[in-house]
Amino acid sequence: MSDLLKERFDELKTQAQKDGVQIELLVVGGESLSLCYQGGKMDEFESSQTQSAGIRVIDGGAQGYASTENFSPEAFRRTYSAALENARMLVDKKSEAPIPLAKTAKIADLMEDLYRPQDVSMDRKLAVARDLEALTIAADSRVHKVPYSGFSESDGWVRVMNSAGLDLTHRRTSFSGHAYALAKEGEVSKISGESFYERDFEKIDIPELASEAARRATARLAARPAKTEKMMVLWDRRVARTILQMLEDSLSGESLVENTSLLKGRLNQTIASSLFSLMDDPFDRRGAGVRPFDSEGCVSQKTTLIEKGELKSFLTNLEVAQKLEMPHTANASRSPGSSMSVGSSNLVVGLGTSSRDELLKKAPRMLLLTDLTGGLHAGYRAASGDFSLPAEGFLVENGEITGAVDQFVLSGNVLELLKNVVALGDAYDQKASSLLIPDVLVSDLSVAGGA
Amino acid sequence: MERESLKSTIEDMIIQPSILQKALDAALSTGADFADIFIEETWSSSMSFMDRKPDRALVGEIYGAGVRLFFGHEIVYVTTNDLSEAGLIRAAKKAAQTKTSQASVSPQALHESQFSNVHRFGMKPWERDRQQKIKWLQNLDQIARQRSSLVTQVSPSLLEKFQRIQVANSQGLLASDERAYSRMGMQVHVENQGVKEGFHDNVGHMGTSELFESYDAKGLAENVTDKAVMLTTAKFAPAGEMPVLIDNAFGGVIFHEACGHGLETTAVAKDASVFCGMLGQKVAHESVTAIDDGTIPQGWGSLNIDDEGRPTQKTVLIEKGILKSYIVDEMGSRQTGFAPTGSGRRQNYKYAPASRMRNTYIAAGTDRFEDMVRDVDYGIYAKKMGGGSVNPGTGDFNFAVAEAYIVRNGRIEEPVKGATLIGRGIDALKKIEKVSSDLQLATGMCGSVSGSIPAAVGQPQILVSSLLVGGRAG
Repeated sequence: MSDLLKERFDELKTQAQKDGVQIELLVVGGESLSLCYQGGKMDEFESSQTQSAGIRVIDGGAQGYASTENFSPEAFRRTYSAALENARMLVDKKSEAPIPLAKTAKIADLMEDLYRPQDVSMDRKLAVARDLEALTIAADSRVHKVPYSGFSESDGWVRVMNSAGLDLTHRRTSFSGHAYALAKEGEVSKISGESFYERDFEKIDIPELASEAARRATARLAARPAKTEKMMVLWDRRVARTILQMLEDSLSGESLVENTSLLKGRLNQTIASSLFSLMDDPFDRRGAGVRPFDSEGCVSQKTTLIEKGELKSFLTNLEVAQKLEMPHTANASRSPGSSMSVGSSNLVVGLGTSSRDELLKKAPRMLLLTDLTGGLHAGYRAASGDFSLPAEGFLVENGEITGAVDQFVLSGNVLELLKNVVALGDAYDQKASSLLIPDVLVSDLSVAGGA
Repeated sequence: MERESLKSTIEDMIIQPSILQKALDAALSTGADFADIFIEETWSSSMSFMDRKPDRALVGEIYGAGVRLFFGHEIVYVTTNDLSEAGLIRAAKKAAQTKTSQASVSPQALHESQFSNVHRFGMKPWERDRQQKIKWLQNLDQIARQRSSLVTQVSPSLLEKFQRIQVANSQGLLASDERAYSRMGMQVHVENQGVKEGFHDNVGHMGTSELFESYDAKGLAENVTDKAVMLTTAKFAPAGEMPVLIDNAFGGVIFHEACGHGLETTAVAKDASVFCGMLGQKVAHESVTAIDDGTIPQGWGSLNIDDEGRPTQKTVLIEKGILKSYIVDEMGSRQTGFAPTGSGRRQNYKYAPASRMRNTYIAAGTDRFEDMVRDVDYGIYAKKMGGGSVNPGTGDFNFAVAEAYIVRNGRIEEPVKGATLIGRGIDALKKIEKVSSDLQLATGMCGSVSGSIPAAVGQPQILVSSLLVGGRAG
């Protein structure tokens, strides 16, 4: 984080003044280390150093972007020129309302605690990588192998500067890892696993992770194909994150501007069960999306999106808030190589009051949904909110798990699903994510299988 | 000013062989038995429309190097953005210092590889007039809006990429190449009596963008619009096991996902593929021949040389149902003993290369599509596939069908939405009963261990005797 960057920026700022435009520089850099074992031997050792600078030039209502990984003065000048040219290409937009830049402001919480350089020996890091594989294999005799596992350490920083005088920096460190086990029993094999994200090396608990990875991989070995029926579905808190992923685009003010939001015209209306409340909370340190400022340098703020089922707000950045004449929520999101967008920080669903056991007893028969095997792109249509997602889980009868099921498609519509939430769990998953949601019990979903 | 200087940077990027030689010496200094260095500079641009006018324009440069070492079967990979002599040697030393070994290998002297560029390139993307590119997008926008009054948004986009790479390794290989990629696509949103739907499609090739000048934009824009409108009235697909006719072109994505990934040595060497140890065995119906071909001129997944500097190849994977070859990179070759197939690929220098597909397709057969339809009493015609995924360890796959129709009594009838195909690659291969003669390829982006890369998929129309269709319970 040399102040060479400041010199580079000042030169461009002077040029931008001459050209009669505003400029913003977003720089992201960092170092990372990844270690992976295979068959008890070191398989991969990757060390990377990356840096990338993204320039946004604002010319009235038009904005152009360019980015580079080459930090020479010539490359910065060239990148600025490309961004300027891109802005000037949008001739129709220049006369629109000028796009605002973030102003300098005092940030009460710079979140310096997220940067925790730790002097951990390479031997200890290697041991974590080795144990991820070894302990997962040892955890269950049906674990045939661990084809995917790895440990990573990351030290990353972000800096935003603009021609309004803003200059903000944030740096953070983290450790993460994963182990995916291939379990076999007879002709049947399943892959599943577990991962972690920690800021403190000493808190990494590999034995616990390994046994969870093995448990998840072996749990559905005896699965049978599901029948086709409509039923009550309990979304395990991990897989329930998918509900937020389906909803996220429609909560973005950008999708209103683009006229693609499913929630257009629904502000202050009831869109979900009264049990369902949702916040965007960049201050929640349990979430991986915690941050002191957004991608254009605006101070983080907390936003109520849905309160007891009622849609209260959309997420915005400065440009979108101005266009929609809606409150600004400081949710600018971009990387140096992408254009300005809107994105959530941590999406946090308010906790319910039911324990897992109580939820399982809420109906005589339900499906406990534990895996969406293809993720969202295997069958979510953002234009309509309809989903048809290949899934796996367990049948639950009278509060007891009676067997695993696979080879079925869970389908419905995300807006209907929100209205059909009948209960929420009383805890979040311990694993860090930017999506905090408890178990969600939903009535009336379609389960279509081949049995 | 900016265009000229950019051009000179890209063309001057080649690192002197003497510098690469020094870096390779440093890389082998602690006993690694193989080293290579990958240098990259990539220029990319994207442009998109929204609300009938140009909305976004981005340009980006990627600039860096990756130094890779092998200590037996162990890979060490170090990246840097510093392409100076000192920077490259520093990265090489950093990689070497991670380990010491008894092996003692001296790098061979570098010799420049000669190969011919089979892809025609026109003007460099930054040289072409942008007004012309804007016109292509405007044209798509206007055609879509004229096609239907139900259209609420049209977002056409153009992506261009120009990549210059250089590879040197300790066995004396030195090679450099240029690659251009162009892709044009569009998304159309419609609303019909409160029902919202969308559809998208795209076309692309290896090469510069002038091919879009003569492209059938009308066909693309009208088809995408028609399909979005069609979905607003389509009913949900039925569920259950049934015969499935899969269309040509992008239909090949199922083979790519469900079988192709399992043939990459990245999976085979880890014993994480159902195709392990099956070379020479029958893995598919005898009507199935499958090929992974990096040599197709202007092919979206084509190359001259791969990212390990080897000439690319046309590799027959399955011949008349018999497994003939895996997809092999340098490390995969070490681990499995099979010769490399010119398939080492990566998104950019930030990723170590891995064995990856190029243009992968099921070869043309002899059946007639009309006859194949006539064979089906009740089933699904999957005309255009959507997204999907596969578990390479088990070969289990699932795919959304973006455009599907019911086939009833030998006739293609009403459209349906929300269909998903579920199965296991190796089972499905055996159930491909008929293969038409009409082979076509389509473009995709393939994401895996070494990042997201252009890969083409393809096939003629095929009839799978039975697949699980996930639809919706009534």
